[in-house]
Amino acid sequence: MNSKEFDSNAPVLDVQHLWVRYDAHTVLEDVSLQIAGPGEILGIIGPNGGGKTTFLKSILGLIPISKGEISVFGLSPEKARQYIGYVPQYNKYDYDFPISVLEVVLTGRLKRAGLFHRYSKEDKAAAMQALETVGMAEFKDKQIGELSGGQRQRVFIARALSNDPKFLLMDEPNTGLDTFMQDELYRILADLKKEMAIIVISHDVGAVSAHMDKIACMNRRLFFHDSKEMSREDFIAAYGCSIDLVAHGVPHRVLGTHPYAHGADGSTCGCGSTPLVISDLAAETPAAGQKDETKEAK
Amino acid sequence: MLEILDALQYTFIQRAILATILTSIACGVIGVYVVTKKIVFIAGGISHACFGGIGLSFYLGLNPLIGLLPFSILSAGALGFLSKKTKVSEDSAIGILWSLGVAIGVILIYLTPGYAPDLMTYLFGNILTVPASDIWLMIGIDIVILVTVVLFFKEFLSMCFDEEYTRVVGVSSDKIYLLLLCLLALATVAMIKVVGIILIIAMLSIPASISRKFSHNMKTMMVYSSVIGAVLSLIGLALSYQFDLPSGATIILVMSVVYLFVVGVSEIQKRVQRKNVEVDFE
Repeated sequence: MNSKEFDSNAPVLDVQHLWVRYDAHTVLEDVSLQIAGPGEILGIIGPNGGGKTTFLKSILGLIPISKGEISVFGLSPEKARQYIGYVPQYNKYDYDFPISVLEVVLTGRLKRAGLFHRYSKEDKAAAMQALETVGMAEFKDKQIGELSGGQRQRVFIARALSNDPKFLLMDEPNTGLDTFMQDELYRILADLKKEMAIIVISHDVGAVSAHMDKIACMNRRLFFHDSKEMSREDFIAAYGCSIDLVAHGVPHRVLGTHPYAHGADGSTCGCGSTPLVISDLAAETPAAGQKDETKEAK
Repeated sequence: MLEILDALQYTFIQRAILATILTSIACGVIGVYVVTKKIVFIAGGISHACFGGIGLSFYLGLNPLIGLLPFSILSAGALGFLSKKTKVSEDSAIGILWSLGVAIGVILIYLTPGYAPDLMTYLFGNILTVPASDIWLMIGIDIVILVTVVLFFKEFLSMCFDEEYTRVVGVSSDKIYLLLLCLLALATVAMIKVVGIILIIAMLSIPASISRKFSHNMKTMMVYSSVIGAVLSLIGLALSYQFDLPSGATIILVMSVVYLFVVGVSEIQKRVQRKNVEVDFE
């Protein structure tokens, strides 16, 4: 099914009926997802242990899949990896490790530089370009442990960008970032999405929603309607209950600037945010009663 | 003191000094990987598995180093394979290999007719009995290690820092890891005569750990750790000659004391800095 060559016309991602099992435990169940091309950020939210990281790793071909098909740019994950940028979870590193910022970013060019060769001028230029993009060029000679959490996160984004990816996968990029730095991060992503498709996964609904173009929900199964709207049933199915996700319970952390008309009656909540919309829920809830509704849900 | 200078004219002392320096280079370079990748106990597992190789050599009547070489590489390969390709945890694999190697060695030596006079040499090391042929072997091993590290420097660095991302960019981190374990096995072979199986762990970890306090750059750390290893080993050697103590154990004692001193000083520095910061706040 997968052809040999990179095909820029092929869909960025085509996942068909993906199942992942570890022993008797099913992590992903019948997940299907298509991303046609660049231009949008897809947010995948869901509870911890819901299979989000597993999903990203199966797209990268890092873990064996039990059933289904994954193709990226019409290629198998293993072959497509070189076109994918990946920003793993932030807390998995030994920050005492003797490696500089530039050296970390250069590892993104490891394969391209080739065995038995040093990194070329071109590799170094690409790494510096990636550091410029995330605003970290001046820190290139710092040891990775000397940076703050947000700076490190930007370095890992630069590493993903150094190889000129066509598709960017980010695992919990908000971790360790304060609100200001999160805004900065999404500003960078808004630029990048013109050139590449982006998937961001997070367990924190409020933090991602305002900046995503589309939102999917994942808890073993994927709930996605190719839009930013999620039905209440989806959320209940994904999270088990509807409490934490309520768009208006947390939106002030993610204030956008566009007021949004809610639900069928067109009422606005007036908080001025562009949170993800839970259409069914919003329709039922009078705008003025948001706070009560949050409490009720608890 | 004069006694030590006099000693320099003996061939076996000159050879001991050369062996010490060669060992320090091998373990200085590999030790940096061992310490930063946190695989000190894998080094311990491989060195103890080597005891099986020594036993085999005695049993077959070969030069122990000839039995060691394949055994160490084999144990490194087995360790890499068990932990990466099966569900056995690396931790358990190390424990099994560690005891199995020693068990094979003990049985084979028991089965060998006659007394095995060199046994203690391999457990605790005796640098004063290193023959010229071993020096040549150590030079060879040092060259192989240095050339490999130069050729694979960026792969080793990437794999040690982030195995998963190394795979993501399309380089087999499993193969690179296996290569590193093989180099580790080679370094172990080079070191066995000098410090013995039991003390190899210290020889690999202490100079590299000390160098870590002075540098955050992989290459610089390797140079520092080789030099620190050589200087401390030679001091240990001199002391062991002076006071008629076992050389391997004395070398390790010197290294440990210096390590504790360096760690102590750096801790005190940190506390003082922290205190100064607090004072600034006030």
